[in-house]
Amino acid sequence: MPGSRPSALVYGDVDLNLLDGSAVWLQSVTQALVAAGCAVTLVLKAPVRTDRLIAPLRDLEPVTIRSPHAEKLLPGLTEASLTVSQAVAVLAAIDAGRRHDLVVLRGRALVSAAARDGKFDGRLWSYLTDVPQTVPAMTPKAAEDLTAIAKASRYLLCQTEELRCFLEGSVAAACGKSVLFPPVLPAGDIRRDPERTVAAAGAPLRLVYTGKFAPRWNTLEMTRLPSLLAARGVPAEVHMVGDKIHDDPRDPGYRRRMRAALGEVGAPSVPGVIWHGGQPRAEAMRLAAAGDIGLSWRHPELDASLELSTKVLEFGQLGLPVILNRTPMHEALLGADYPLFAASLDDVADVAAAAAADPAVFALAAGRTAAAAASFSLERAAGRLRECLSRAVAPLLPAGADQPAGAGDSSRPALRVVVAGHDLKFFTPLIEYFRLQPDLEVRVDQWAALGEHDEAVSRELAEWADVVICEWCGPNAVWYSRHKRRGSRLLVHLHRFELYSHYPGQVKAGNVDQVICVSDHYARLTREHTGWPAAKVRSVPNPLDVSQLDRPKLDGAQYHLGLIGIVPSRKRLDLALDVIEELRRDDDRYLLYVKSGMPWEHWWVWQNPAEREHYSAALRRVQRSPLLRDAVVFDDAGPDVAAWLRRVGFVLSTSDDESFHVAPAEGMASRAVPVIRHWPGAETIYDKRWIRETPAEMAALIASLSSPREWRAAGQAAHEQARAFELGAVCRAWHRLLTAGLTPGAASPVYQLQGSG
Amino acid sequence: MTEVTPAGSGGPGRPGRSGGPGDGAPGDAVPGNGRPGDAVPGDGADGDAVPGDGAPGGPGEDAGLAAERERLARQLRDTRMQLAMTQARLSALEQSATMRFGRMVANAAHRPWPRGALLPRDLYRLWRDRGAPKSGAQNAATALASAQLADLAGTGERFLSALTAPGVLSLADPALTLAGAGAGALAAGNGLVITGALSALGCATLAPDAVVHPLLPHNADVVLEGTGADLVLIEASALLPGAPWAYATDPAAADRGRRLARMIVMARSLGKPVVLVRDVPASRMPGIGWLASSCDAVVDDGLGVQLARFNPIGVTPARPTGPLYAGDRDPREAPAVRALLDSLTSGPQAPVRLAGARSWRGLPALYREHAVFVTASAAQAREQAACGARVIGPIGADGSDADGVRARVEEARAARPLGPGEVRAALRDIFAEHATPARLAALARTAGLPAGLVSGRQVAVLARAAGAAQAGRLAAALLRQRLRPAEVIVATGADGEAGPVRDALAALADHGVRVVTTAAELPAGPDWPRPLARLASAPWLAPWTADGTQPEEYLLDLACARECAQADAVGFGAGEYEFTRWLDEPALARRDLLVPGGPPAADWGGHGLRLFTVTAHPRTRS
Repeated sequence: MPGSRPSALVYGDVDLNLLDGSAVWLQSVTQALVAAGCAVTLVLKAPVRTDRLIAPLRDLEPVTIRSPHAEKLLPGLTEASLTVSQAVAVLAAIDAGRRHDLVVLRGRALVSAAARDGKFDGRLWSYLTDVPQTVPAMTPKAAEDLTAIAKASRYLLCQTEELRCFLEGSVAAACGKSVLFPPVLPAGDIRRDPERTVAAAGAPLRLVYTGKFAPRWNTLEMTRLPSLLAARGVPAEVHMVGDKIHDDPRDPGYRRRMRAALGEVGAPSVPGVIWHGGQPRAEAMRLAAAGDIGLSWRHPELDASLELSTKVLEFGQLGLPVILNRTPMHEALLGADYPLFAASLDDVADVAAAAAADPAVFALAAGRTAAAAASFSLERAAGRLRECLSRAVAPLLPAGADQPAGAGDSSRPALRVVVAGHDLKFFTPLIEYFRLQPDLEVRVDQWAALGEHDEAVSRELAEWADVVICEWCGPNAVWYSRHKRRGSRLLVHLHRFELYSHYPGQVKAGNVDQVICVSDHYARLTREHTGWPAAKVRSVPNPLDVSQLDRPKLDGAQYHLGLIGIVPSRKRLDLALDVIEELRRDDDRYLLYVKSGMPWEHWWVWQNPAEREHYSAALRRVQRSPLLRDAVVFDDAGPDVAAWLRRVGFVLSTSDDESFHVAPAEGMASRAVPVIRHWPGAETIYDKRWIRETPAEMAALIASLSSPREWRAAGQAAHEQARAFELGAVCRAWHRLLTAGLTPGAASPVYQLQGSG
Repeated sequence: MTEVTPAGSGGPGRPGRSGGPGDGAPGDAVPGNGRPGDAVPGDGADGDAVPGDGAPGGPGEDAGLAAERERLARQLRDTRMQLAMTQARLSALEQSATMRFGRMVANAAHRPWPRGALLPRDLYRLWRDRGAPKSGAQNAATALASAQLADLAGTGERFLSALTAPGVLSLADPALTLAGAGAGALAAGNGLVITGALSALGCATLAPDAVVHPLLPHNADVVLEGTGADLVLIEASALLPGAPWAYATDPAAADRGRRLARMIVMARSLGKPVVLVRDVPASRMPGIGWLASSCDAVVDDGLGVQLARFNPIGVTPARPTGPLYAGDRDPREAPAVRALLDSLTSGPQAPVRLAGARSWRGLPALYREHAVFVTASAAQAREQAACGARVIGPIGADGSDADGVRARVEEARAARPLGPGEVRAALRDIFAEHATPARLAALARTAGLPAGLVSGRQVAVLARAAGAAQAGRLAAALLRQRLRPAEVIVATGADGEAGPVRDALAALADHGVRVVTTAAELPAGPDWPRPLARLASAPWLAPWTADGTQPEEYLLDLACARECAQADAVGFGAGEYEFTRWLDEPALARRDLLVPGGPPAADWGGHGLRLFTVTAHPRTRS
């Protein structure tokens, strides 16, 4: 029923008449979107000449296939495929007829053009191919192009974690928008018979290669495997499927040699090398399933790719183990102890012989590839898309579950909400959530600075709003407490610095309905400092996008401590140095990574002699202490925290005072272990398990988790606790606050943290 | 005094070392983009980064002046980098097919004869070479010169660097402590100054033979300008976890990668060669490709065996012969190695024992404590051999099967530990080919630096030659030496002998040896070399007796022993590879000890100098 589904406009710069990886991707993503609940309009790049990929889509009810050529959607279209500019024009025309909730595009040139066009801003789900993948390749021009794309996109769909992190580390605008969207394996019913013995007595070991023949794909070298294996006492055949032989200008004789090694279909020229020629996909899969081991061993030059070979996954789906290069990406996929990694042709022969000789080796490898392939299924892809949709299109809540009061009541006009403040960095995710709610209408009163705003605009918004949220209890809260419309509600979000300023005293407390602090401790302090009625002061934690932060740790992260933010001095860089110094007395593998701006970048900090003295002393220690001098790295400040946390195993919080401190929570979400100095109120937010009184005790906690297993278990526990700060839960708590009073008997307290107490 | 200058000898200059426009130049503090979440909110949160008084220039410095100085220094550095990048792009453009095509056609139009007539041939060549890969340097220069590197300015530049740069590294390494002094002191007098992305192990390896300034990601820009280094070295192992440059080639740490790229560009702009030491398997670092092509040279042999760390000093004949694998099993072993080690180390009766994971700092002691090792690494095999061990391996590389290895293991277990003569023989090959100074010399050659920069092995022979015949024998004996001297200072005796002696020594000069003759009278007794020492410029002096019995390993053995012991002087005695408080007759000594007015040899031991003895004829058996 397309009407009730999110609508997706899908276009890949891909000709669906040609059966290749990108065409299969387009077919798969369409199926996954449908499985995720979308109604899909698929626009074709080329006139239909064969419908082998399109036919399965026609059978899906929520899919509408639009053929610009057949429908003559643009004047002057010939039989040629759409150019990029024609495609953008066609898509805009179709979207103009009925606005789509999301626009899924594949191909960098296409997405770049669409971003420049501007008609799909905020709705683009961009799947980028041919993205620069190395530091030198990321030129200022490329970075500028990708920045424009990221700004126009709701999501950047990244094939691998490696690509996502590289993009975020190179293009700031990509941070927070980059989501994983790995290759999708279409469901198939062809499988290798798991009961079939590998190279049973008298039968040769069957190695299988499918794909193109090219120097860097090592296909010519593979033809030597039968003889190499024979020398190891293993009769073997190499079955090769495909008919594209690369013509390499660097090696003019390659094509001839490769062709000679293949022989003729049905007439081998090299004993044991059996060439099947080009085959339809299904037949290629059937031939592969009749084999024992897949071959995906390539030239090391290809190891640097940030994309995953779908061939490896397809072999896994068929139940075949694969011989492939050892790379960090393949280790992450199959495990560092996967037995069929190979670096040379001799290695390939060695591991193939080992798998043929030892059923346990074969079973281990086949099990690993099959398990890896399972996480690339259509269902998993649909799940990923569903999560993205819940943030971008539909309300976060499934209908009926834990419904905020007033939500979904179509008889009531939408609640008009104004968010006012000068610095909305904490509140932006909440605003995005509010905007997706059908029962809310949101406007923002952006103040130019703490005490600077356009009073006329504010007056107009104050008149309009049913509820005003003042982000920070500053001059904005003072102003709105004096100018809000009678009958409207005023909520004030108080963080930390305001409590010790003169602003709370100037707020007309009687006009404030709720003050929301970020921790129970600060709620208590606020009551004590201001004398405001206890019932008015609530606590809701800062929100955290746990799924963005939850990424695999890099090798060695276990010995890397992270400190995010060292300014001002109350963050206590010196105590973090104490911790790392103490650890390095026994183990110099520990390093401290600091991600922060610097104190001299903030004049209000640097003009204070005590602050300057603090940093000078701490940094001198870094230089002079033999335990610290090569143990502390200052990384650039920036929004790429999720990627940065991949290198961090422990996140420190050494502050004298915090209202919440997002850093340890972010670390927990990333599966780092938080190690928190006992600043006042820390125990009301975080589990006491992570809290210590002194740097020596903090170091001891870290040292006690020196075994990889214990460290991982602690990180997992911390990760589960971080779900308490999950964006969705915090958003729902705020939603309840907005609508409190509209429905009698709203629940209290608003939010209960695991560490509360 | 008469000097015969060897052919091709370079002057004393050290290009790229100092005097560059930015050496020691201050940087500036540029604000970084604040991370959402933890910056200081509230008043002034939108303020700019204007350092107050006492800012980078130090307490009390005028803030405005300091800020302006910072800004100008930064501008200078950026301009220099931009210039280097533009030059690289320009030369790449000049090599491009389009440019060459345009130039050919223009030349042909200007000069129809002969250029016009040759146009078809030139065009054919252009077409034929279309697929030819560019050289690594060309690709590197072009690629890196186009990268986005100007956005890295966030962490405070000069101020941070001034406060946190480690400077010349002193290392907490037991082996170097045994070697006698901190790294800086060890390297004093050695010529080569190295900076770059270096691991702690790399620093410990280099420190006895070079002055080492390791760089950190946040200070590389600024410190590179100030060190006056000859060479920028990037060790791949310094980019592994556990080191400050960890993950710099990993896509997950693009920030560190850009810092590394910026360091390379900065080195280029200062005219310093950049060399990558590729000492990590490609499978662990697939992203190293761009780095390798961005460097001026890549070496795959590592930094070699540091004899100050790995040496047989103190080994006992009673060390156990039970074969040991000095490490833990690694899931990343090559298949052949895995199969062999499975067969050698599995089960209760395993013929080879695993030592388990060890810190690099503990390896020299481990190697000296055991007589037999099995290894899968050629580099480790050499280190173990330098410590006097019998080494089986590298297994997996020589094609030997499990039975063969097992037989060798049992044979080694049954045999006695290697004796001094066998150890010395192994050391000679390591010294000549694989020790760190040998690698550094090769590295300097690769980087286009003067060979004389690696000066730790330069020996001047001090000798007497009463006539042409004696001089001829001396020249022949020295030319036979496996370690040829850098200089020969010869006392000719009577004036009339000077000419014939010089002629007889000409063969040495032909082989690049600096020859100095003098008619100075030499005193009798142990101080006879002192007047000759005055004329030497090499850091090590070898008084040479004219009996002609010195074997061809004579100088090499002395120099090798000195390197192992980091001794001030080496002589012959009863003890093989032993420290002593007394040398009867120093055979190799630090120049400063032998110059006229230097301390009497009898006082050396009493003042704590490191004196070392070798035997003239080491026993073969232990």
